[in-house]
Amino acid sequence: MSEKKTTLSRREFLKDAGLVVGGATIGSAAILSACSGKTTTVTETTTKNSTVTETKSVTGASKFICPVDSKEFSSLADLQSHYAAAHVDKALENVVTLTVNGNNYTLAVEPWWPLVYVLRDVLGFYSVKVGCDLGNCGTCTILVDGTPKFACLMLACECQGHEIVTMEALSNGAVLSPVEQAFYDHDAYQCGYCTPGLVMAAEALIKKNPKPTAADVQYAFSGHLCFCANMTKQVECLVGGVD
Amino acid sequence: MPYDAAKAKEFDKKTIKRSVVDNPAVHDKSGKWIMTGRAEFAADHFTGHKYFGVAKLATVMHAKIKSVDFSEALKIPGVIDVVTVDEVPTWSDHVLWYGKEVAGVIADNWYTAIRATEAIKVEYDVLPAMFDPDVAIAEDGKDGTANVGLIDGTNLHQRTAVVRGGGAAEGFKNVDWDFTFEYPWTTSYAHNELEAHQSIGWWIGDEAYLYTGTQDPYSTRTSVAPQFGLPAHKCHVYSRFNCGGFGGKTDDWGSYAALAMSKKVGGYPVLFKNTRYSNVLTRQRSFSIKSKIRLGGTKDGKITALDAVFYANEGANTAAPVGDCIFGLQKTWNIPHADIKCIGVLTNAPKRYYWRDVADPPGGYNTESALEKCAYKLGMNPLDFRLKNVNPCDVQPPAAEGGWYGAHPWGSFVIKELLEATAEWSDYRKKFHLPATKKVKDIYPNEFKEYADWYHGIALTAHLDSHGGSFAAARGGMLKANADGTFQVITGSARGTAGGTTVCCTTVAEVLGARDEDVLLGDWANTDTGLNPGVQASSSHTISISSAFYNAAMEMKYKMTVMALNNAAMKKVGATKDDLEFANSTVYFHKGKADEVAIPFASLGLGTNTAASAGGADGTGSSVQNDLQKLLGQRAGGAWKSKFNEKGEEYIKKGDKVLANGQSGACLELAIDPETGVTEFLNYFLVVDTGCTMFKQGALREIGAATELIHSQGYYFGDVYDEETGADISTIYTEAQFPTYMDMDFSTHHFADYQSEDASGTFGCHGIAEPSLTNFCTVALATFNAIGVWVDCHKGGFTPDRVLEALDRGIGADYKALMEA
Repeated sequence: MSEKKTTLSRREFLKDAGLVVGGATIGSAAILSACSGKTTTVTETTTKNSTVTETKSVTGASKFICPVDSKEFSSLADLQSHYAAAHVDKALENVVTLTVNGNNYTLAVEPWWPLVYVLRDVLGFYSVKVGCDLGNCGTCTILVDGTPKFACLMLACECQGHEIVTMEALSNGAVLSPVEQAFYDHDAYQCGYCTPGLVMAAEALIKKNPKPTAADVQYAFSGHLCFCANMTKQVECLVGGVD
Repeated sequence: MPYDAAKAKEFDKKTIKRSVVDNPAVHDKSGKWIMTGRAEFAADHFTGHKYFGVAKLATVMHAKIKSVDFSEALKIPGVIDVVTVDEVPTWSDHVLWYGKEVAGVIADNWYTAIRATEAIKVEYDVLPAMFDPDVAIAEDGKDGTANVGLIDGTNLHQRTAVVRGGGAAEGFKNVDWDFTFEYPWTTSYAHNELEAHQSIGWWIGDEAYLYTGTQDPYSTRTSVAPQFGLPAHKCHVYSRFNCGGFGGKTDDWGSYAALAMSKKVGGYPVLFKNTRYSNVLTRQRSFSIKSKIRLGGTKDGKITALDAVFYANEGANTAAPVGDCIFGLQKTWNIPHADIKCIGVLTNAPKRYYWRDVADPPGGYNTESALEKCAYKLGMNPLDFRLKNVNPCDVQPPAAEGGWYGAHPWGSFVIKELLEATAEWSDYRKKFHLPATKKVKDIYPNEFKEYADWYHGIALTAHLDSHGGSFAAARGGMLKANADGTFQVITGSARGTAGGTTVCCTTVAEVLGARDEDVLLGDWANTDTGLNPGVQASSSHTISISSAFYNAAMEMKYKMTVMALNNAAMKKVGATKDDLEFANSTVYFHKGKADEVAIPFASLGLGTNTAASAGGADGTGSSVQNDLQKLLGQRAGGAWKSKFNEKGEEYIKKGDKVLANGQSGACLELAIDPETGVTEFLNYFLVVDTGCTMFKQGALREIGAATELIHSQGYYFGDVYDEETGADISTIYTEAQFPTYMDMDFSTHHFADYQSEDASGTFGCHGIAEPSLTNFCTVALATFNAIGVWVDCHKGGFTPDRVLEALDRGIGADYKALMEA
């Protein structure tokens, strides 16, 4: 027994996560708090070791999408002009501006649409995968203001004003980020479906704790599942940090 | 740490032979797509331009649908249309289990579709149901008894039957001992993939298109096209990345629904997608086994007679692949007189399929348990008992008597060696004791202090695994040469795990002498561009695909040879084809130092070349297989040469079924606290025959992963049903409430790859992860060794509550009863 056992087991995690899911079902206050980045029960539970992390600053061209006819514009002013001219009789309801990977997306969302649906099926950020849609597999993990969150447990309409980062922003596709490279070098994936969620959690961990121990990594991954059961390597590849 | 690294290293040197074709520098060819979030799974297409389909599921076990009322569902904003069971191939108005599809909704987003299914009202004519397999057996054939409705008049059908040496009756005429062991039903598992099954279907004119989660796009096309009245070439299937290293990789379940729904809405793309719960209910799951095993033999511990019957709960699947549950018992052990049967039992439960592996974990659990108890009763060390009865490699009973591992020479068989290697590595003989007689401190006076007063248990098994199948069918491979000297491998197989597609590339690199980085994975898993490679789920298919690429690479090499000989520099030095050497993506001629010429592939002008070829044992592939084997055998220092006869082309005859079985040895040491029932692993030694795989690190990765999984399963899995309704009420799968590495200390797990010298492991090893699964039974056996009471796995895993329940009978109680019986 060379390693100290993790202090947060998956069973304990599930117990806590169940409370979160229950809270979210009753009302949206818990989720609202999570989106706002405040230290609440929700944030404590999902990312117990990182209530506050540095927000990654990313900038880029913004895209503004007309919620009525889906036309795209390069500025909010252009969109407003278009809207005023083309849709004078329509009320602008349920419109939010989401900041994803440094770009702003203004679009209409139903108040009950989960963030994961909007990211994937409306905006096309397909690195964000759906596993359980219940908040217990971690596959859809993204960074919200630098903190790993389950996108299936957040509502899109409550994420305005927060910096969302998905795996698409970590590398340019040719040169891997240090965390991605560590996963790659250690064969820390198999089918790859859960990998984006784990990588996002790892990014947050490494930023906060550049030299994590195995227990630190296990702790950070306690909300994640890998059905190929390759978590041994997923932990190993981060212990001691990444180059 | 009880694990002695120096000793392990010594062990490595002694028993592990590294293959020259095993190159740890080989990288997973599709890994960078995954690591950058650009791996496209089935649902990752048509952003903003698709509808969403969801199925409504039955809430009864057995019924005929009387009526379906869609009116309320259609009123919900966002609902586009609905489908009935008549509109979706494979759906039916005959409900056979709780959770079968009874209707479907198409909506503009997934959540609306789910909501709408809840508004559909279904009326049923409920029929008598058979949920309990014991009831299905007991009541079968009686007048007036209901049956499941899949086979007229019965719920039972014989799957496999092996009679050897005149049968069991002949053997039991002359035995010194005669023991019978019975095991209740093992649990049923539903290890569905993390990606709830999803497919996008769309139509352009009368041609169907699919993105779907399958490892075998060609089989999907073959099964889907006729259902829609299409010729194969009008059905296009794409499946590059595919979720689920452990299950659900070849299922066409969502494809029919996606295409039918798309057709209903004029061909617009429809993503048909399961919820987690519907995935659990609708997808095929593993079958459970119960058995009665009677063994007899001589005083010195030789088993001479066997009479065994295994029942397999198939659920509502007449085609459940349950027959191989007898595989390990049939083929691992050398028993001259035997009757072994497997009988399928149909029930109104979800369709049964694999238990991750083909069949052996539950069958092996029963078999190994019987052997262990037999050894105790005979007063023998269980390892010695196994060594006495294991089938040695050179024994080949006639095929007419079932053979031991097929009537062909490619079967892998080093079980005896694995038993010995595992025993040596783990110091099994030194640590073994009778049940409930040792505490941890007795074995480890200076270690594991925290468990000093817990009971120590140990068990060692080795078992032949049925995973592998055959590669009797021809497989296709297409290779394209690029102008820059690189090569593109185009295979029709999806990437479920890292091994298959990578091994195809490695084969090409080996044959052409190309650098690994110069062989690229091209447009793969696409029925429009690749050739049919078959499913890439098993090592055997990986072998046949690789042989196809071997053929293609040989053709390419011929073309390159011609080009090189036409090169001016080569002409000047008078090079002949026999003088050329292909290495490091360069053609070398070095007759003498003065004449040395090196031509990079890039300057050969390869850009227009393609090569496509078939491999496998039923055509020209057979001789090519042997050529490749010879090549690699020579590279391996001739170690394999003895495995081949002089006439390689006759070695595998046309139509021969070739198996590539997996095998491993495992020794588990555990500690059990009798006060709380808590179990901790102290050491787990796993020695796996990886053959001479080209992608060793991929194989080892899978083996480690499978071990992690199997221990999670062994401890915690087990489905829970409401037997009144047939509903799955377990949260283990729907909420994934099982532990992972986060809960388990895998520093106690030690792996070694034992590389056997047989031929079946060249490209993918003997079943990639499966061999490690058959040793799941060590958990049961070591638990029995620790506390002397039996914790059957028929009610679930080896959780503390179940250990405590067994301990209510008293420490050592079952062992005492066993010995007195």
